[in-house]
Amino acid sequence: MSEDLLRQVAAELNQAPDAARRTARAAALVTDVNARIAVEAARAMPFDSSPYAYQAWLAKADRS
Amino acid sequence: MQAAEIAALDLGALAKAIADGEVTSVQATTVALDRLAGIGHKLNAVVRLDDARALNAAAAADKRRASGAALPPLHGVPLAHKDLFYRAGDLSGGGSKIRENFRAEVTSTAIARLDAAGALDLGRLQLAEFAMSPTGYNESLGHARNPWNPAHVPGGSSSGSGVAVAARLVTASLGTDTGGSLRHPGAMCGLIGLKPTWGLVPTDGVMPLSASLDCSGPLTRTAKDAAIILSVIAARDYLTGIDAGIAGLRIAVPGGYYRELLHTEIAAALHEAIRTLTSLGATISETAPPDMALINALMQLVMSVEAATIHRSWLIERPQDYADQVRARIEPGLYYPATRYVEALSLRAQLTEAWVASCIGDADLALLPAISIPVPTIAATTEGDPADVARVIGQLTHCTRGINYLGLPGASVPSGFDSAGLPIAFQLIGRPYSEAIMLRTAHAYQGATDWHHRAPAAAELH
Repeated sequence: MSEDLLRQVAAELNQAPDAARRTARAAALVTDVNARIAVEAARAMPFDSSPYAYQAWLAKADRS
Repeated sequence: MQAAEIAALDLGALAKAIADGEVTSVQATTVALDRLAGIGHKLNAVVRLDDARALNAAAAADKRRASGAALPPLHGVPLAHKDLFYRAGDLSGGGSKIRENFRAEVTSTAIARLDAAGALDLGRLQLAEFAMSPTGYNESLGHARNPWNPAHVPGGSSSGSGVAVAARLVTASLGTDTGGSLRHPGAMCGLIGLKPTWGLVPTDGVMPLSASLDCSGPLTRTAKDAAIILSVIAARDYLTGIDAGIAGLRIAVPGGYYRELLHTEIAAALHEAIRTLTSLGATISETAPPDMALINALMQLVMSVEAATIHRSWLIERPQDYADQVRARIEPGLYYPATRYVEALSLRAQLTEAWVASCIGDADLALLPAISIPVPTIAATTEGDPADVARVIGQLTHCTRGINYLGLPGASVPSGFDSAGLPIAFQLIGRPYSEAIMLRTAHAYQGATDWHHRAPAAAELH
């Protein structure tokens, strides 16, 4: 992932210019984490999914 | 009873002594306040105490007992908590420069439940800046010191809570756990650090770090004390059945990833703990974890995105008021696309099911190392090549951080000491809402071992 692109995301989309100056040290981590999840989600996340499914799953697991 | 004898009592014993009139609440509170002010300050475990309010409350508790009124379970017992649990009107600094003058407008439900159970609230304890470090790192307020050896880290982020309970300043303390922050000080100070199932204990009125991962829970010397506190703050019963033993219990021991960094002394203690659990009637099976790099990546993304969201305005306006190590943990969250964040949350249930199937299988619990390496020195986590520092910090959370993404309950259980005299612990992980089985297992283990009875010299009990 381009460091310049990340710098732009921090400086322009998040309006955090100070953080943008430190982009270099986060770039490798962000690239790796983003790629792992992007690949897994494309492979395994069903269309009928929801960011709230976990709470519903937990509620079902609560038998007390 | 002498001050040192009172300080040596665990939570259950102190609550009983106060209820039976063997110790007054004023005596217990005076002892705790003196020790927090003396030993606590030496170990940099204390942020603020309210002596007058605590002693007034203790006197009122003694008066109530004298009246013959029915007493709640923690009547008159002095406690102190991590400085991110709000009490309306009180300062709550969150270990930070930025919030040093913040006064809470609400009282957290967990604190209100302890109040209703009769516990006294003496004040607030040290933590890592914004609860962001597994070592307890705090550049602005100074690092808390491990009572077993003050040159070593106490574990964080609930560092002051771990120090205060291990050094016998209070019998229990609330902390929070977003990536291991109860289990780290638990493991490194020789305590039970219980991270409940995500959502079991309300986190309202607690300074957030990452709402999808944050859990509040107790640090105590014994599993039974953890059950007492959890029963209060979760408003459920974890004491009934805790003495039932573990004959027939099935414990899975995942290998692979969870053995990768294991130091030989930790491995030996883990082996011995498994032997002890077997002798108590548990059966052991070996299992294999799924792709932990993926689970750790998901935890990193959720934690940093949620932290960056709530910290963004301060990152813009007051970047100089963060320690660099703390900013470095928050700022990656500024870069991920929203689709990744929603994907991370959407995958959570199915990946948790997959982890449970792989690591626990048909067993009741999984047993993991708590910390794979010996407790490091403060110098090893703050000085020298930043890459070396980052490597040590990463090693500390190797077995803990993924559990927060999964939302499963976990507890550190003290299981020995290394050759430098620092505590070693294992970690029990259960299915959602299996805290009762975990506590019963830890309680049975503590019945067969004496690690939790050993006090550090810094406790000054003799």
